[in-house]
Amino acid sequence: MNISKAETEIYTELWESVPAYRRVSPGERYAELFHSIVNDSGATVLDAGCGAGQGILALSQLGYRMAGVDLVRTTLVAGAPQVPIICQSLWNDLKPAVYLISVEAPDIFRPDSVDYVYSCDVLEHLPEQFTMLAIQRMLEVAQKGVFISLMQQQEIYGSWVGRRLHLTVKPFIWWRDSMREIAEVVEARDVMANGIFYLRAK
Amino acid sequence: MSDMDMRVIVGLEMEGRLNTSDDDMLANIQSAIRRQHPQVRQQDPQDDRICLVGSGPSLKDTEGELVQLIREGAKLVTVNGAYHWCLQKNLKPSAQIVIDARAANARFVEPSVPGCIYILASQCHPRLWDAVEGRENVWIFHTINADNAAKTMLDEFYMGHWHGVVGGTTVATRAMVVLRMLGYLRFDLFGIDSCVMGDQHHIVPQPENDHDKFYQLKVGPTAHPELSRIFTVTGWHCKQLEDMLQFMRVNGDQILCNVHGDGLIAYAVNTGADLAIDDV
Repeated sequence: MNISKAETEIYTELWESVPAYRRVSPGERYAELFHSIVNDSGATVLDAGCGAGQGILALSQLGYRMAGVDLVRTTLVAGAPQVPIICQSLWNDLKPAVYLISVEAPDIFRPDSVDYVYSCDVLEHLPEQFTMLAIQRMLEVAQKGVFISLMQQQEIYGSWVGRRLHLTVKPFIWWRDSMREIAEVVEARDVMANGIFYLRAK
Repeated sequence: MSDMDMRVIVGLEMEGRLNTSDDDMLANIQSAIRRQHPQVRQQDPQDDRICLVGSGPSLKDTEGELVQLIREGAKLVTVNGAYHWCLQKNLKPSAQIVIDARAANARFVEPSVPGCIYILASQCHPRLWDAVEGRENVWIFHTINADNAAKTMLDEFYMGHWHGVVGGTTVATRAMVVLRMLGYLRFDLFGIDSCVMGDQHHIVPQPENDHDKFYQLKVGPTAHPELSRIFTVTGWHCKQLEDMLQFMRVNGDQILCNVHGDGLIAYAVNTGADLAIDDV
């Protein structure tokens, strides 16, 4: 079984058949926090796991110049700006995606990197063996930093597609210490159900 | 519950006060929450029996009981200087809990014990947090309530997702609340006496308390004055007694608690003492 293909099928079904899933938006919830940490309006940001684009919309309104990458392309929420979005799994090399984004919007994006990667409630959806690889991929294209939020408990929408969606449910310490192996963990906040991290390349 | 309902011993009117300024406390919290430790949170009920060990003088008389319970599988949780006393007795703490905000308390987390979980209040001094830096299991909790000045800071940092651990002025009572939050229901208290025994206020040196003023306190159950006893206490002993009895009144139907030794708290719990006559 091709893991990327199987995951793509599950999330395609979910986006198409469960409207409520579209309304869940950690990307929107953490936009202000991201801004308070980096305070860098005008910077380029790749929303890794952008979903229906609520995070793209929220960060655009704060002045960030956005692009997205996700396993599945879905309809963006009303009001979300039309920005470059590339379909691929996050554990694959993100440099080709960043290059394609720069081709689509050459006045905004550099061909080899973005300023920040912003990834909200995405990593826990990945198979455990790919989580740190995905973070490494983000660090490789983020010139300034990587913002990550993730859930530390199971979710409820998987029942609609017959499988739990959070494939990596780990405690805060596991995430923090794993990230410390591959990155400089500038911020780590345990906010109970969620963990919030801000990383820089070592 | 009204203040009158919460009064557990008639004749004791106590008010707790912090041993550190508000500014120092806020600075400590500001520093601690940025150190990337997980927060203590509500856990499912646990079956384990907890031996919660303080450094009261009755420890020397109850060491055998403590060792026996640990041999039977109870988990050893220490507070403050009891950590050192247990290590001297070759008893390995599963957890050490500290809440005091003064810098000198950094000694209570040294030496590092592999496998021990350090559960520290966010108000603890940065020197203490420095001491536990890099250890495997360090957890933070917040000994504050809704009207505390640190609330805004915690709300902002944790986006409203934090729990205050209320209950009492000393580490012993707060430790029980933390352990209850972690799901533990069965407690055996050792070295939590709330009184001076002989000339000792603690079983290990604790110079911070060497100049405390002593009082004689006569305590007993109203219905049985013949059971009254006189204890030598300090002000914080009295407050801790009140805090502990209030905790048991509020949470008594949720926990099993045995108080070991011949200290004031053990006496008050065992006799149902409800009357204190100060300064006999």
